[in-house]
Amino acid sequence: MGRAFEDLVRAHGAALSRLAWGYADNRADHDDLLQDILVAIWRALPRFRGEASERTFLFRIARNRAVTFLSRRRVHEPLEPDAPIPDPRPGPDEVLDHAAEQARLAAAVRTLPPSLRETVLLRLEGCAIDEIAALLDVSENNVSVRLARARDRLQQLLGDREP
Amino acid sequence: MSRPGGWERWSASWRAGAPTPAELAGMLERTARARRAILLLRLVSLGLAVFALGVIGAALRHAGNAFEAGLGLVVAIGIAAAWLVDARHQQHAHLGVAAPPREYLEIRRTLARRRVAFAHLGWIVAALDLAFLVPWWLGGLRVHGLGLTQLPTLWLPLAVILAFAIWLGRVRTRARAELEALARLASEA
Repeated sequence: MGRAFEDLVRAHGAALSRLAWGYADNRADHDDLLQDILVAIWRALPRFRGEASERTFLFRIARNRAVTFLSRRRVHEPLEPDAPIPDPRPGPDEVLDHAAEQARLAAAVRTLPPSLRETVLLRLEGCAIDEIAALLDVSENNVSVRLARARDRLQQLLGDREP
Repeated sequence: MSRPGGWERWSASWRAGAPTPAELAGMLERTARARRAILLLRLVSLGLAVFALGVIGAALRHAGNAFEAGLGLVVAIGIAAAWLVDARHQQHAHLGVAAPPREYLEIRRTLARRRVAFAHLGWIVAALDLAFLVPWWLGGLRVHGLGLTQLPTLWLPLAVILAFAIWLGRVRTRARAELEALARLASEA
């Protein structure tokens, strides 16, 4: 089981880490949440029978533990919808900083309501609409509506610029 | 050349960074440490329950009448039940971790309600424990006086009971806060 767990972390650790950034706004919280997710996966792994894909299984655990994480921490005031996310880039003429862009996008995603946030995070990880619907146990139509709302909101928050 | 749409661009930017092999190894190491800590906590919890039962057993040998003996047995059963309920909660908390979102929320709600009830049960057991042990402690003080010889039979059990009561307060506060937060999350969804 230890080997299977390590293989899963090596294959999906990056995605799980990014998902954690969708809920945590600082390194300490991120590491706590990621560790909680990994421990939950380790505990759940013996009961995984392959009913869903490996990715669906892992993302669902990550989503569920993130909900518990949110329910245990203080409520953060969301940013005003009209207030653009501060742009950490050094300047338009300088080299695009992927890490800064990712942080900026994560900050915008974290301001979304939970239902939009979890949908967006899965979309950003490359999940198809039917996969998101199965993972969140909602209809595909519902996922599409959520994504459309989230896109408008993100464009607003990011100043409607390209990431 | 056409540019990819919004989601594709955001997705590419989102997935651009990946942890290094060293960071992945760090994740695995932290998880292994957390697993060891969980195991250690379980052992400590079991050790405390066995110690509490041992103290009750020692006190039962000095029970003056059938009522005291009955009370001691009730307390012993209460301690064992509280430990089993807590162990069951720990286990239950992870059974539904891969469940669909609505089912998971319901599992968390049920668990939080049970934790509130568990805190109440624990306080009753602690109060009965004190009611049973105080007469035995008073008798012991008359015979042995205050001193280090009383450490395993008086001071340590007293400290464990107080720590247990305080811990139950934290369990109850957290469970109630989680219930409120889950209701808020459900309404936001």
